[in-house]
Amino acid sequence: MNMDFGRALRDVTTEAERLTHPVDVGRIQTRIHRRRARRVALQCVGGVAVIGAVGTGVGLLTSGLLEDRRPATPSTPAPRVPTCGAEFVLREAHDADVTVHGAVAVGVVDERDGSFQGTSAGDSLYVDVFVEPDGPSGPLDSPDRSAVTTVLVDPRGTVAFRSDPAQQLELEATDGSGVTALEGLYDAADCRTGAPLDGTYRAYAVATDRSTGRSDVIQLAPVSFELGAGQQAGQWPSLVPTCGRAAPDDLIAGRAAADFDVALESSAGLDDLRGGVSVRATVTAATPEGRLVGTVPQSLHAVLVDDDGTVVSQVYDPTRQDYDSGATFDVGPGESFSAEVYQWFASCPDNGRYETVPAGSYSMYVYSVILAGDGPGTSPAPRIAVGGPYAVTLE
Amino acid sequence: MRTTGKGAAMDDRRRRSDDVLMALARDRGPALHAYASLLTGNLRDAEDLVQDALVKTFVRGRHVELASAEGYVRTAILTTWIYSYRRRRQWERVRHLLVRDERQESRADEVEARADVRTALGRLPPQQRACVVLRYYDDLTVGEIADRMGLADGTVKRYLSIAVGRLETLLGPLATPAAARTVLVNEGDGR
Repeated sequence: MNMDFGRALRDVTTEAERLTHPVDVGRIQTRIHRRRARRVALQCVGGVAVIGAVGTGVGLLTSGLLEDRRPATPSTPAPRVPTCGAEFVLREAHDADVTVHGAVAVGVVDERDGSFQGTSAGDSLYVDVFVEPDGPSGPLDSPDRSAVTTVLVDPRGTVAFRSDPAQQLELEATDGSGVTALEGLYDAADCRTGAPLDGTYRAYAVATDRSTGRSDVIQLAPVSFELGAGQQAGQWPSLVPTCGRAAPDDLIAGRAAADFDVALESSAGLDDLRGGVSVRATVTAATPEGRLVGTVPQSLHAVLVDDDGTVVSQVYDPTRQDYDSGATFDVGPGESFSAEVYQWFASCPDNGRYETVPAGSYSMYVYSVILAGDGPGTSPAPRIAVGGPYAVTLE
Repeated sequence: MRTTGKGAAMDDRRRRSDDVLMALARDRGPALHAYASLLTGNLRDAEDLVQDALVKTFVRGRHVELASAEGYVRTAILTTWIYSYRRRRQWERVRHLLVRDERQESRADEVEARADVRTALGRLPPQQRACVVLRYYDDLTVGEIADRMGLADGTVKRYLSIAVGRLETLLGPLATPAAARTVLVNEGDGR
């Protein structure tokens, strides 16, 4: 006799109903009211003191030193930044002496320990978008998150979300740890109606120099609340050369087995680098057959190798994550797409400390991991992109 | 700055939202806990899950009719569990909690049957388990499950096919769901 599994499940729930406790309405209302009150308080004070030292971003919350990072005029829209509900017409610009990196992640905030868990079913946004100098130069520096406005644009082309520091969620963990706010957390609410954001949105970041009005506008990876959606870019330390160790023999010999060949579009300035490198590059599929499909990363990485063949810089700068751009690629053998190599040259960690790689002449290799599938809808896998060597001089 | 009128309207909307929350928790709380326990495998986690789902549903004070509120909360239970709980909870930790103390109040054979069902459910990965609950408990069609979970129809068919196979190895042959519109023959094969 076949089992009526539906009835069996209903038997299970009937028994469970008999055994369960009543819903703790008081606790739920406390949580709800606390979150609502937090928003009201933020709207009243017009800003919030937040904790810096975001570190490696999503999922990480630190209890560092208190630091007020409010912009000077948080409620004043910067020039060229569209307001909530306005039509957004992309005019990609690169006028300012800065570059914008980052992403917007969907997730949930765990009020117990203050952590942010990325999930497309979440009700919060982590706007992890910041500006950096146009070309890495000088000492390693913390990226500036206050000088950029991020907007989410709905399929009809109007702004549905606009990052306003005054609207950030203030958070203090309820577990007594003293951990406080992660900078850049927002309710995932439509700024026009207050309703939860839903579906998929294009994302743009606008960095404007308030003194000159010049802007840098870029498209970020789209933000999706669809189940199963998520950020793809990541870091793969086990797949890239390790700082302080000998560079792989096949890399030095120019025989590295790579899925993508990378060629810099210009070698100008490589003999006078200051702290890092920022240069456009052409990425060409090197696989013998089939197609490679994926999202173009915002930055490709590069490493420095000294005359002894030792890797002297870190591929993954500990203060930065990797992000997708708003562009995609679908390339067959020999076909190319464009990307940017952007790398601060951080020295190998010494008891957790590191600094800019000492001045000198080095061989620079582009060495990056790009996620790519074999076709639309296929699961992406990490693929190696290699270029170089390029002779560089670090001042 | 919000105007006084807007603020008063918001307060009123939130009060009505809170009223719906309390009525729903009072009248349907046990049923929601029981439903959630099909996913979590135990009542303690189910109660936490329902609490998270209720907060998520009512935190913004949106106007929700009582009649439709339970559906929103059940959806929130499902999505919250799939995409949040499964990452925090160790599956092995859940599995050994499946059989609770309630057996002392029930007939032995019925208790054994329920424990078998819970154990069998507990051996399914989260996505397959959710598909099975939606299919057999909620009587949803493959297409409706796909919509609810944001998956392709083919993916749901595959999950169900694999899950039913696993369940049958533990429980014996399962009857076709009462509201079945699709008969699963082989993996990914629906008609």
